[in-house]
Amino acid sequence: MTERKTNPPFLNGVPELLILQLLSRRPMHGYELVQAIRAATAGGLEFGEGCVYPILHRLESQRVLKASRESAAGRVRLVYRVLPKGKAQLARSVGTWQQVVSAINHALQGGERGRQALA
Amino acid sequence: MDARHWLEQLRAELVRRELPLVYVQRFVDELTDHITDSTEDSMRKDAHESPAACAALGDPTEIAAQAASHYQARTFAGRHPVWSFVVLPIVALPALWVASAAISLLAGESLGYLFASFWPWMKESHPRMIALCVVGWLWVYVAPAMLSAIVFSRLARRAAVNWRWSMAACAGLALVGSLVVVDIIPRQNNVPGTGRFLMDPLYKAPSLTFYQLLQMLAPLAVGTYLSWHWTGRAFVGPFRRERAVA
Repeated sequence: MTERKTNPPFLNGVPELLILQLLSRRPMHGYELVQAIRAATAGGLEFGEGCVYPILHRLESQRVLKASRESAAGRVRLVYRVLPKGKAQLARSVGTWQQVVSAINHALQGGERGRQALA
Repeated sequence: MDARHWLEQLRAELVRRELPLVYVQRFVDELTDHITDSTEDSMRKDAHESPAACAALGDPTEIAAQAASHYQARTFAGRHPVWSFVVLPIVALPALWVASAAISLLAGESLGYLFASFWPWMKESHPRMIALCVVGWLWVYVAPAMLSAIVFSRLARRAAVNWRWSMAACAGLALVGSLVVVDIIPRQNNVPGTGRFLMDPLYKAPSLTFYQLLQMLAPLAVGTYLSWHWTGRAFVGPFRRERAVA
């Protein structure tokens, strides 16, 4: 089987949003988080699972997340949880995302001039 | 590709990108756990439907490149290496010279009355005055250049940028250092001493003095040693070193 492309260009920014959203519900370790992303998006996003970890580490260095060693399923793992700064960033990111989606949908529906605007 | 080979390739790529060993070890440990979890999951499910764990993770070279990119994005120096390692050294060194000269003058003025008896003793001997001038030159001009080379080399290491950036900073320090001409003639008999501090244009390079040469070579030597030291070995912490495992 060919290896999956690690991070397609059109997904810039999306992993951070998904990670913060899922970790705000409950703390998880990396593998759990990857499975949660797949389940939450109904398998609609293809990405290399390894690309999640650099993002987690960067968010941790920005004090958006906190990592702690905890026992999970009989093994000690690094579990990530969202900090208050992360919750604030999530709220801003969700707002921005909804603005973008609304604007794009408006454009796809033809905007003020109806379908002719797309010609 | 089996898991062990995949993880070894990832580790080698992370080390090649000069990431700190502590971070490399943590990254590899987390992915090892990930592979273990993925393998256990596929054993619980139908093995024919589940993708190979390493294939699902992605290409180790791409993952290492992303890890290096995200790690560098943590610091200003990592995000803006040109400002940090080309512009800042050229600006910082003259500022440090002014600061060290000012500190020396203030200290001399403040402690002058304590060393009042010491000063005539110095003035009586030409060699003692020369020695004092050399020590003053080392303290005011050479020490700041070497200290700056150490600081910028360490900054490059912490930001996980390529060693060439720390050498660029040291080259900038060497260039600025070579432009400064220090000419001190101590007092002799009743003839007052003179001191000159000026910038020598580059086109007069063939007439580099011994002091200019030292001011130029000192930061280059420090930068070269530290780049070799941290590229051949692995930076673990401020005072501990371990050999990188490729």
